Amino acid sequence: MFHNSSQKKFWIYKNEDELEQLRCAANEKFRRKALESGKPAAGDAMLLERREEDALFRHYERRLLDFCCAFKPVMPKSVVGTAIMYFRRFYLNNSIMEYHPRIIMLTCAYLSCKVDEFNVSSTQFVANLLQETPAGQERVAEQILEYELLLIQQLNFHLVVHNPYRPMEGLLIDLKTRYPILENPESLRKSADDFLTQAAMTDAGLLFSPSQIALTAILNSASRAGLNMESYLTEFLGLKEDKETLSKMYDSMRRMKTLLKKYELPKQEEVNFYKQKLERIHAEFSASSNKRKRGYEEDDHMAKEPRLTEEDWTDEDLL
Amino acid sequence: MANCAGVQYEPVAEIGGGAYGTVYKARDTESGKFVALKNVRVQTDQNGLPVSTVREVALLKRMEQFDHPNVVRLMDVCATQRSDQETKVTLVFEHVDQDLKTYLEKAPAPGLSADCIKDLMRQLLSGLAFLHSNHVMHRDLKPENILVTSQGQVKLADFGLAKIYSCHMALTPVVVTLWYRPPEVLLQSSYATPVDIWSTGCIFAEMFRRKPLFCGESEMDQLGKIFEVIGLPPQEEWPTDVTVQRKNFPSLKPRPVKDFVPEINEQGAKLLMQMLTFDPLKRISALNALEHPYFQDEETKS
Repeated sequence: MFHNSSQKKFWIYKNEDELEQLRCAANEKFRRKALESGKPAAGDAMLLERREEDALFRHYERRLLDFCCAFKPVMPKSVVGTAIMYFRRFYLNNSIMEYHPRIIMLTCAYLSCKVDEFNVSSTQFVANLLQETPAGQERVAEQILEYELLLIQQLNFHLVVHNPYRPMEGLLIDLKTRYPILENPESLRKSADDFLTQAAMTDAGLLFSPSQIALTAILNSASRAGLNMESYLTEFLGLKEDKETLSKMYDSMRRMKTLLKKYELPKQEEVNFYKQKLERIHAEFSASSNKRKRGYEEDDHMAKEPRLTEEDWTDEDLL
Repeated sequence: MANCAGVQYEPVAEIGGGAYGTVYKARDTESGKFVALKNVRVQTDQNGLPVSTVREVALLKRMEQFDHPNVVRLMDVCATQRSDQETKVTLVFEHVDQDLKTYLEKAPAPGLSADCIKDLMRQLLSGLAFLHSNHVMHRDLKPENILVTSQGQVKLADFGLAKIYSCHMALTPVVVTLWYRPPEVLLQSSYATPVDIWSTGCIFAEMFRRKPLFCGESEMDQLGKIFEVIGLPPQEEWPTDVTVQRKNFPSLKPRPVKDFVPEINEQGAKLLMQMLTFDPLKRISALNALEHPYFQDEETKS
């Protein structure tokens, strides 16, 4: 149940400003660390600014969605939603300059498969990197497993994610059984599904409850089809008398729609430029700090050093 | 000295161990309070951390914020990679000095009073109702997994096999310790939260008897011992998704509760039989058990 979940308690924020502050703090933390290292690449101009990080984040998040959608066997929606949510949560408190999004996105997808009981082996998983050679796939699998524990810890072990897909199914069932005004609720599904996919690529999941997102998706789908469903809220959800709740709900819906309207993918030439910057940063800072990068304390004896760096395989290997 | 999320834990004594790892009593050096450190050595293979470990930790973390008085509190989790083959996961729980097994053994003759048993049962069912309302089965309830504080507060512990469940799924067959295992698990049928109610019934009887109710040496032997008490269930109650056939067992009538739990009162006997009901769908729920007349009437003081 969402209302008493770790998601509600620890991962729902008041507003976008709060999220931006966290991301700025993560960027700043890495900058300080880089400057303290005294390395030549640590100059301000060499590092990624917050907006540049954001552009790269959106690029890799899109790659994650594409990877999940092309996955064989077909990945359930809940697994995809959980993977994207892990990715967003991870980079709330970490900079992409510290942990390369290329490997983190795959680790998010892999962990999501485990948590949501979509059982695929690591071999099966990396076989979906179609451009990779078998040896390359094996190397990626090793990296995913090296980052798995780091990801779990950075998510503070809160691995159960409540997605809006089940609430949406519930709403469709409710419309079919209790709202005869609407002749064919199923006709709303396609557009509502698209809305949920778009919402997953924004901060909606960090600001609103899954049922709020699902309800907005349904109502948005209805309004696009020229249907007025206001009576569903007032009569059937019993909000006619509760003006305050109704007003808050409409406000949330407006904020959510604004989020979706604002969203745009960065231009490819921008991405390419920032990527070059990112690769330089990782070449400079990753190699000498495997222990930091791995993100766990060593215990009793050292684990083996990672066998490769992210640079051994590229974005083009993802699909 | 163990370090977990920046907090120092100083081991004081080893308090348990097994195939899964070791449990230490430790002191939190910041607060001075005692904690229990459960070290689990997780074998990692070519798929990384086992799914079961990932889910267990996710579940424990999910339960953490509820702070229910009858569920042991998880205070911290930390994981350390030791090698490519092994990860050490340390679960930091609140520390409770004894379990129900020890508590029963320590009780002077003639054993626990009827009021004490009623109080322990109320708390046990309250913890269980809480877990079940959150779609969690314990699946390994036994006296060793029920902790009792010095103030007599019951706390359910060791969710080693607990799992967020989807109703009526066929799940992994080998779960609860044999003596507390319900018929549907012994028969390898599908199961859900009623498994915990059966285990609770066995524990309820054990509180009066001061020895386990069904001590089978194998699955078939365990079923035989169960049917000697509750009788052989009718054919229509026998699960259809199992290979073991009803005709393999002798036709037995149920025995009166007083035969095997002489000290129990009338309402207690009724509740016990509702817990030890063969058909899991007819077995009483934790929530309904708390509403049972057994908990309403006061024991007559002699």
